[in-house]
Amino acid sequence: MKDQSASGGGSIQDSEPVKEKSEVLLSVEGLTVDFDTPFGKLRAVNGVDFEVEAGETLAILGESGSGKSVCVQAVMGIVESPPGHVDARHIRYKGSELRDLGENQMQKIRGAEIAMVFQEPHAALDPAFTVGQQIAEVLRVHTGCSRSDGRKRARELMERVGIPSASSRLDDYPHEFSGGMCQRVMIAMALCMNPKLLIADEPTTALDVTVQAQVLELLQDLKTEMGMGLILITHDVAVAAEVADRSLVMYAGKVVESGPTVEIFTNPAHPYALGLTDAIPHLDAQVERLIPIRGAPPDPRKIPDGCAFHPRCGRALERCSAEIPVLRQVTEIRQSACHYAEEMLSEN
Amino acid sequence: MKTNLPPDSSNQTPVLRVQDVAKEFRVRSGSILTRGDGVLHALAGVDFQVYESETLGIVGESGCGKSTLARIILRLEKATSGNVYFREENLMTVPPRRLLELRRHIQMVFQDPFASLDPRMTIAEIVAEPLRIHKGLVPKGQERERSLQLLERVGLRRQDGERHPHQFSGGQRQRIGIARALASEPELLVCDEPVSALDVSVQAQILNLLQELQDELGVSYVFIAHDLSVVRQISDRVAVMYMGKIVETGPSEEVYENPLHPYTQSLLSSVPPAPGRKRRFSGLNKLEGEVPSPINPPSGCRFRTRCWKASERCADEVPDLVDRGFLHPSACHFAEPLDPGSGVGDISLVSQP
Amino acid sequence: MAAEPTPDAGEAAEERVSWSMVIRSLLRDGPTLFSLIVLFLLLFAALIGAEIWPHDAYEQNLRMRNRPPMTPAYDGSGLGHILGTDPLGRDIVARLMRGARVSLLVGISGVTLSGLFGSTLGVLAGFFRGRLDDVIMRLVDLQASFPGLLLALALLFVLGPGFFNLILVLALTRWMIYARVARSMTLSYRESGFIDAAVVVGNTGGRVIRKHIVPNLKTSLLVLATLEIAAMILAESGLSFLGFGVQPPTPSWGLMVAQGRDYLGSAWWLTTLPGIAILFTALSLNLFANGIGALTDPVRRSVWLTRSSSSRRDS
Repeated sequence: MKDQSASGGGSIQDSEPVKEKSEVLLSVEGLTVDFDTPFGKLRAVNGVDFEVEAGETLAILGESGSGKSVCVQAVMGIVESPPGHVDARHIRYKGSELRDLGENQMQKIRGAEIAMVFQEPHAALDPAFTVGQQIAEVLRVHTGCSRSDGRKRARELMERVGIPSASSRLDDYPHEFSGGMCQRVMIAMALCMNPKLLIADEPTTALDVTVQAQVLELLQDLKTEMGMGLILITHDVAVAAEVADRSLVMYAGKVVESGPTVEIFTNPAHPYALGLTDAIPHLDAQVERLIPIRGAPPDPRKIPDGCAFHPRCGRALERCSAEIPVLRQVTEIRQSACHYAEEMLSEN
Repeated sequence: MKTNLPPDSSNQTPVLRVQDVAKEFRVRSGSILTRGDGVLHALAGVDFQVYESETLGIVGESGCGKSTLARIILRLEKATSGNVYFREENLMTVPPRRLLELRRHIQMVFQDPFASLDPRMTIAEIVAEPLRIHKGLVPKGQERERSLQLLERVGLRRQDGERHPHQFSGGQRQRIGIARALASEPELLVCDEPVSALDVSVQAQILNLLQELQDELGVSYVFIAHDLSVVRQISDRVAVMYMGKIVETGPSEEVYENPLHPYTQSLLSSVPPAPGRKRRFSGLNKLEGEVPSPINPPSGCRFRTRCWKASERCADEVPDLVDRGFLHPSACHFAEPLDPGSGVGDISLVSQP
Repeated sequence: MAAEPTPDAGEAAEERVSWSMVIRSLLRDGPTLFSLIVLFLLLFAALIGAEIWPHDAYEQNLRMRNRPPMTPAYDGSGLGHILGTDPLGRDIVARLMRGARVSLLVGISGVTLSGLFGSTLGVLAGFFRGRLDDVIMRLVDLQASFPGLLLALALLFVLGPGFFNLILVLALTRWMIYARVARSMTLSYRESGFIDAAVVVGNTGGRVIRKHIVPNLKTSLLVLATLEIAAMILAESGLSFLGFGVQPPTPSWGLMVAQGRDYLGSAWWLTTLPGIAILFTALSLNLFANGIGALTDPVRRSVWLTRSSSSRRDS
């Protein structure tokens, strides 16, 4: 099911700005990822659809076991199979089906068209090579440029991502950089081929809040400057609200809610999103008691029947343990996978 | 919720008094050619008190020394200088025997819920251990029973007492850690990032549990975390740390609503606002640069290299953590409150080398 | 109770471990099963085999020299010489069984001695660090840099051959490996936090070592010890082969291999059979060590128990 953004069209009065139809960069439908484990088959992603357009930021929000990281790993073709098995109706980048491509062709796309930034910046960089060498390597692999060109471009990129004294720091090793600086190096590596789509998997989770603010600002600036699409994976609702126009909320391998980020959390259409909002402490107020979501995210090997969230849901009724809810359109721009989504919306 | 105890209430002995604690580590710096022994100044004179039944939040980013501070309070490390008083006794100088006895009263909840539980013990045994060590808490032979009661108190099932840590989820393991910490009926609990490793939906459960237990048992908490919202929720008073020093301290509401120190202001301004809410102190530019190396900290005020108010005085004179005519103490020569919602006028952020 | 009623409904692996589960998993685990069978036979042979076997390991009969396997007994009665006889007419099976006793004895005592000594030093080094750590580790390095066999030969030369000297010397050449392993594991436990927790709870240093470090070490050291028994047996075989280990007439597999050297062409069974015995024993000990590793670690145990039974179940 496609997520409809606010539709453009000449017949709408100027109360709503006409949205330009941007190019759809990535279109994923029916994505399912299974893993073989000693305990049986584990379904990490269960029928997920989403689209990303050029110039927009999509956040995929979820806690542990939600399958958010596995989704993008499947898109990038980096799910090890076996033990993983990726299936989908389609995974299309700019119209071409990615799964039809051989490994050679995928390698051309990775890093050049679709780039990725990971969570642990120190772990993602090779400690044996200098930062300059690693950035230049990406360039050489994709363009076959010369050593000196690669080095020059690496320096330019490091400056662009805000690393001070870039020329001298080219020859430093990853361990000589702080976490925030390493993340900037990763971003430089990701951007050196001017990719159309950037996937950032929890890029700021391991960073201090002041550094996080810097890195998020950098990502947004670069995205605007280069007209990229950005997929941001995170568990932090505030980060998603800050950076992403639209969000997908995932739970136990499925999308349970989707729509404009701020709206999802100010006017939730799914009890999970509501629960998250109530459970998160606020910076500007202390409440008597937070309202937690009882229980814990389910073990992917033992997902409850019916709606996966129902054992933790304060509003669950009989239907919820028997019938699996389907993600459906509840307003023009909102989707929810709750049997009682409309009721929830009308309450607010 | 606690009544707000005034920080310098003189008719109360603090449960914990940290006095001018400093900690230095020897480090090897330089390469083979430029060998040198450097000194890492992890803590540089930290002072604070914690009173009965209250929660002091200690907040700061990586490298500020908060974890080192926790280890020093618990005597897992010795401070290079300074004193740590539990009630009237100085933990730095008590004889080893007495220290073991005092451990009963000062316990810890650790950050990593898995690593802090012995994988080979059953959880009932883990919780019973303090009862076996500190005799007299329960009648002999009753340790196991009390351990199971504690597990129930923190929300686990009695029959799960025979299981091993790896059979539980992160949130459950943290509950086990809390049960263990409270078994010896301590007066002070140091919580070192107790919810950072947990899912958001589970964090709230643990925070609530901690608050309930404090209401019920009257135990004091030193709650160390980097998540400002979490600290706001659970703390009565808060201390903000930067590079081994406390730069501001006071009742939570005051510090969060009216921060005086530029670092606190920037910190609060960096936090992305919850959906639908506005960013605090939005006029402040983002903090540039990085935390300087603790091996060679800046002279005078350690924050001056990133501070937009920095002047010569800041390089020459260390600002002490004192009352400066506002509601709570701060350590800045130019401390002053900001207007929380608006821009901050003539302030522009300069990053200094 | 102010806490929510069972907010966390149960937990992951419900571990109802029954004997039938263990047996079934064992039957599916080929290598471990094989090793158990061989080791059981070895134990049987070592303990009572030699007693119940009709032929004696020391009884010589010069008319039955170097007889091939399946030769009937001299006096025609009962069980013949299933595996043949040696140059002095002694029954090979009987000698192999006595040899098994020697091997096991040397292996187990050697490992116990070196294991206890080495692990203790390793734990102390890892726990207390500082000066003690430096001293112990330098000692380890020093000894490890000596070639083991050479050292053993030199010591045996000085001390003279003999059963107890042999065990002592073997222990002296192998304790370092336990020290290194015990130390590095102790260090990693210290990092992982539950040791800090044990200190904070109020344990003295000695208690922390006894109640937290040692129980966790036991498994790995047990696995190591099993592997080391194989190493000991091989070392003893080597030394006996060279004439420095067990002395005749006590049969040792290594000695038997040496004695058969002169008859490789005419009586192949003299060298080959004890050689096979050494091979199988060492192999089985290795496989068994692997099996123990799986069985004693709670996490690996769950996998081992459920993998075998659920490989056919679909999710």
